[in-house]
Amino acid sequence: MAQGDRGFVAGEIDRLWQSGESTQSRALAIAIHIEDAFDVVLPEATLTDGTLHTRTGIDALLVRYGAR
Amino acid sequence: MCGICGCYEASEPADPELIQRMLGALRHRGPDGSGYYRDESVTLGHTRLAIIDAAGGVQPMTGEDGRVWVAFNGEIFNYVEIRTELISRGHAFRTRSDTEVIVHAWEEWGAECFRRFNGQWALAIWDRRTRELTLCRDRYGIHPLFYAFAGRRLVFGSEVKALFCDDAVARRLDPVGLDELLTFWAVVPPRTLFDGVRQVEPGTFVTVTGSGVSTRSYWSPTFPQRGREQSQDIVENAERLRDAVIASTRLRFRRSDVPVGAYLSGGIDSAVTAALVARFAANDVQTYSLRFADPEYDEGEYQRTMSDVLHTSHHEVVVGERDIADALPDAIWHAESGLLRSAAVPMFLLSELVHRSGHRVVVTGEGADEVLAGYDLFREDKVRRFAARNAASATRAGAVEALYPWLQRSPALAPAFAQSFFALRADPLDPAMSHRPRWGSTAVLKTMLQDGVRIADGDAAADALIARMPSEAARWDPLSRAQWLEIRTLLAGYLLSSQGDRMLMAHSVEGRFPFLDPDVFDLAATFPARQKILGLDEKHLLKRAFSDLVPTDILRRPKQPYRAPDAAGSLLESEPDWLHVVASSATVESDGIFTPDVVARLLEKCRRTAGKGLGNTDSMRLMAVVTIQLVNELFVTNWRRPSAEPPQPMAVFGNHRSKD
Repeated sequence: MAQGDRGFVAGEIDRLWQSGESTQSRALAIAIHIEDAFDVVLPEATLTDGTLHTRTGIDALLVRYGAR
Repeated sequence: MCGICGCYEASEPADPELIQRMLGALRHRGPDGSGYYRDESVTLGHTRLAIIDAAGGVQPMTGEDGRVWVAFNGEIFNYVEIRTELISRGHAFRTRSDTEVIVHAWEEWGAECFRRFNGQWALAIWDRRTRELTLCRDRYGIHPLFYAFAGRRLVFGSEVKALFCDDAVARRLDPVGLDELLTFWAVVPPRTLFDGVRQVEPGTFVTVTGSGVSTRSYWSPTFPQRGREQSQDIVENAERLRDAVIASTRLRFRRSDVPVGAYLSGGIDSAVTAALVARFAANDVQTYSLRFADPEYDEGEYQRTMSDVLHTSHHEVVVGERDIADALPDAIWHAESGLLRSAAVPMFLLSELVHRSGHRVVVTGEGADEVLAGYDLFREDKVRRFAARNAASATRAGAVEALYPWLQRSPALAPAFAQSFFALRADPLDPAMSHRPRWGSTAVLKTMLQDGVRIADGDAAADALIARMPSEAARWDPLSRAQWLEIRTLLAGYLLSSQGDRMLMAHSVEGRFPFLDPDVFDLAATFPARQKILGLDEKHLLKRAFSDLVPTDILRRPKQPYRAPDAAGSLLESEPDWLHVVASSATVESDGIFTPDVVARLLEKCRRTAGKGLGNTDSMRLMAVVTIQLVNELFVTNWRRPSAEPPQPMAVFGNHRSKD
């Protein structure tokens, strides 16, 4: 994905964050979306340590992958 | 919507009785009249369901000089715009029908005209100038078109039964067609279930001359390179999708001289198209729904919610297992194919309801699942890829529970399901990874076939299909490849045919499909795959685009694939006479398709359980045996030519009006 387009993914993640799904389902959907969008494989720890359960953790990932 | 038929033999005019038999066989597709054109080489026939220009649309039709003749089934929805352009280029029109637009478009642009058409069609064009017969089908295969050789004579028609009116056309099942049916749930065009009978592939045209037959593609589904999609803005993409679907539905609503109704399934797709039809309609809109007596399958609550919101005059048919069992032989007569599920049969009963209500055109949501990624299979592929990235991760493997929450409530079933789900070949480099689980579970049915008809290479059908995938598909998103496979197999081979056109036309009803519009399709193809399924939310862009028109209850309900009750219980309970004929040991033995012992054991098991509690595989096995045996009975071993007369009035054109 072009660098200039990465910001759009942040908006998509916002949408998933506000989806009203359970915490687990939402975290999974966000993990799948981040991996799809940025062609990355999230470390196992990121999937299990609660990073995807908090807005702060997700924002940090978006910064890491150039979407913020 | 109509039926077309005809034949070509370079130096031999066809027998008028043959074309009249073919017209009679297609009477249900066009009961309002018929006509044929005949000259020294070609006969074109047509049965008419009058929808546009009832007075002026008699076919076959020609232009001012009689050099180009057309027999046409379908609609060119943008014919008004093309007509205006053709008039500006000097063409003179005698009617306001879309058929005459085809004549002049062919004169002006030749085969390039097909790219300009926005519509659904199967047509035959005889160009006397070049002595070429052209058979063409729309991009997606909405309308059927078959052909076969009877010696040196090529015969063609909207349905295979018209071809079989020519006694010289061989009638036997094709083992490769059987293999495809028992892999993909559908025979993939250009093949059919009948040996030697071909269908024009969607998006192609076939040219027939004295020197042979050739096929050319004018359209095929394509997708952008992953990561290079034009627009990454999800808000803008949803707005553009909304505009395109509104324009497409408007076109399909306005281009009709008869009232246009709408199907309501209870899901999002038909809710959107019905809501748009209701917006355009000046008068009361008629909506039609299929309900099931079995609450497990019934979506009546959501259908009524939508009809209440839209204030439509709503019609329902309630279908039980016994209704499906009773209608099965008629449905197979029209489908001309075996079925692995009973879901086509209720659609036959729904179109009967539309017909009885006095209507002949309905708009439906068909195609949205393929174009905008609605199927569970697409979501499953995302989860399997997610899991495959680290096979040791329990978190990744557990993602399947997000797709199917019932697994959490059934811990005893979960390990077995997860094992079957993930144990299958999950090679991310496999272009058909998305479809392997389905194909693998279906292929078990092939073990019932006798050696003489079973293709030895179990992967032959899949390999042949994958070989036809365009080379650039390697750079598409995996979802795009899955969409391509779904469009090439189930959409054309089953949903638009066995469950679509054939069930609709059995009762002279035309279906129109706003999601199968080239502008909608081409636009949707440009969207990033991740926006079509956002996380695991299928058809996300569609939901976002029409959140104001569809009630939240429908918008947020989990995807409910259209399913019908299996008819096995009722079939075996009522034991209709035809079942004794087609599934008896003697018939199975003499037909030589299925292994008699295997069929006997399957039937015994079904009888023992009265069809209740049959597993998914046994249900498919039973449907496959019963319906394929029915096809063989109806079209091969006990073929009886339809005795219906051609619809009247009948118009006859050409310079060979009587037998020479």
